[in-house]
Amino acid sequence: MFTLHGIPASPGHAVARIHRIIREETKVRRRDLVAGEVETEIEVFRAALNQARSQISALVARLSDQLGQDEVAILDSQLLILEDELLVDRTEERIRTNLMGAEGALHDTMGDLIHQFDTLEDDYFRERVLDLRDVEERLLRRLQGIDDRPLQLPTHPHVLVTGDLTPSETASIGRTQVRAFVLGSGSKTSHVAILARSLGVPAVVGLGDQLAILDNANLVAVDGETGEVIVEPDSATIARVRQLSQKQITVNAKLEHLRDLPAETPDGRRLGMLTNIELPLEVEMARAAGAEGVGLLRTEYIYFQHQTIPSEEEQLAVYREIIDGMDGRAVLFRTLDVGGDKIQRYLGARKESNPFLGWRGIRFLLANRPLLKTQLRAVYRAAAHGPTRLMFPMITGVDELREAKELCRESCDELAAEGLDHDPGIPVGIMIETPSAAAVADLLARECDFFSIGTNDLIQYTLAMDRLNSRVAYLYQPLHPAILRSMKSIVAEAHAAGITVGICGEMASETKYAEVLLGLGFDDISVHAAQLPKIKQVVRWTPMPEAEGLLAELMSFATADEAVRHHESYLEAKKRRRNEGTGS
Amino acid sequence: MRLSTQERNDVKTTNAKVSDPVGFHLRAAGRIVKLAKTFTSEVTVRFNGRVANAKSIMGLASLAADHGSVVVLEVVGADEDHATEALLHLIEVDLAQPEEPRG
Repeated sequence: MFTLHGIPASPGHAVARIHRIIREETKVRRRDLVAGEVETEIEVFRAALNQARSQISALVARLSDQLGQDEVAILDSQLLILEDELLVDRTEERIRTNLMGAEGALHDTMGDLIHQFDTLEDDYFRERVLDLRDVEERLLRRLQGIDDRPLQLPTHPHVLVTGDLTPSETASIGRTQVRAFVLGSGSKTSHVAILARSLGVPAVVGLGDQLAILDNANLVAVDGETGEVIVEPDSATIARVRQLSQKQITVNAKLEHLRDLPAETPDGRRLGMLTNIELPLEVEMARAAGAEGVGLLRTEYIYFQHQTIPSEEEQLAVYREIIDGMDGRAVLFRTLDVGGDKIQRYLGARKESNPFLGWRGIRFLLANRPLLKTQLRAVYRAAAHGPTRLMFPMITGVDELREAKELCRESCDELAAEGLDHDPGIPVGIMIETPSAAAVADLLARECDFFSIGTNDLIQYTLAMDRLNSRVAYLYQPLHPAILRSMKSIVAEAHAAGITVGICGEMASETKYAEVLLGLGFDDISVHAAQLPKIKQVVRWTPMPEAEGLLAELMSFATADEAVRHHESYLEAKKRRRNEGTGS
Repeated sequence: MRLSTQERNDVKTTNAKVSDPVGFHLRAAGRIVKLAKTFTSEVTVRFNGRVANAKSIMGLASLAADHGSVVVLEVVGADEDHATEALLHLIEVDLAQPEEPRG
């Protein structure tokens, strides 16, 4: 038994047999030519190019209604690579001048090109290397007459172990017998990670070369919370992991009865329970958790899935899928929020010395109006099919809000003039995540329909702490007096202006803060679907005077430390009370 | 759109500012290649000390020209005026918008 460490990408525990998919790279068969063979070898190479081209064209023709624009674009660029002089001429030159066989000549030419991309500074362009390897692999297979086989998965429970999955392979997995994913590549935001989270299946990604160790392994235990992959676990470990996965199932089953009940305190205060989602495939999970709506649809991932900016029609299709899926429950769209810790290369932003204080959120959007307009038009058109809200990220003052709303009006006017179905009346709100927005909340509240507090950024900006810097990470203190005061005043200003205020961000998803948020007076909270039942349970247990009393006590302390200690003892005492209560 | 065209050794040289928000990634490069191939003129693109044939998708992508950077187009051939005009418009204007869906 031994343990590998990867990046935890989807929570949960599983133990099962490995199903290892190894994409074997086709071996390059090198050979030297004699002078008389050159022309024949070039013919062989050209024939392989032609076959590869017709293979791709056939694929596009056959799957055009199933493939998204991004997959079509990938195949499109592969076609152009197959015609590229840098590939064709240079390979033929090697065959002719160096008397090399086609496979060796192709491999060396590709090696040069890949090296050229590898030395570029920009990650985005470096990743194009994958496209080149793909093309080389396809050509080598044609040169050797090897068939391509589709992905096949076993019908027994298994842990899927592989280097990487293409988006179309990922989509084909659906509800099979996959108990966990273990991947060589990838990050928390990769396609597989998102799919795993929405299937409620644990995933560990980014294992890199460690994956090779699993080639001959049989059984693994996967911990999606710590990123541990235990290879050939002993019986004690198997029992422990089985128990953990069983416990999760039991907790979920216990909370199952809450699904259709409101998040209402014993004294009748109702809190809207919403979920954060990223992709249409998460809608099912949101509904299964009993969400009353989507409180934060991060649209970034819909963009990142594409090779380039998705068109209005492409966005409309995805947005409609989500709205239709939520079946009458409102969906809150946050416009594209790039910058900060999010991948910028896709949108061509440059490296900044202070990305969190740089070109991000609404600043980026207002500087890229065509891009924003495309998204606004898609949202307004989607809104004709179900209840929709729209909000802007990173607002620092009223001028940005006015400008953004002006673009909303323009978009609606255009849609009306074009006779396209849309709903111009949807609520338009803002994220409150900068200290300046908090300071002028009263002014902002007069000009928009709702607030949603983004706690991650509000905490980091208010306490001037970079959450990615481990030396100052201790300053991430949701119970810091500055944070509590700020949130309290934002809620008060929203309510004074007669608009609603919600909260999203990690703090909202932590069960332990549920009473605090209730005490602060939020109208709705938006959380990870998996957390929703637990938080609803706390709300249903907590009368308002208790929540408000707790908040008043927490706000009486001068330091975050004192507040945290008090909060902990409150939670301890409450747990004891409940245990005694259920014991008697 | 900025035009700073000058004739030099029969080569038509024009500066073009990359409007695609992502820069010359594969999809944008592909659009340029497809357009360049409709002309008989030779089109060379220079950026940051690197040179590429506008009819080569990998050449263009390896320029790593990102959003807002200015590339130099050198066009020579019978249809160089048309080619310059069309490519300039594509790079400076059309690339800012997604490609029209097909069909």
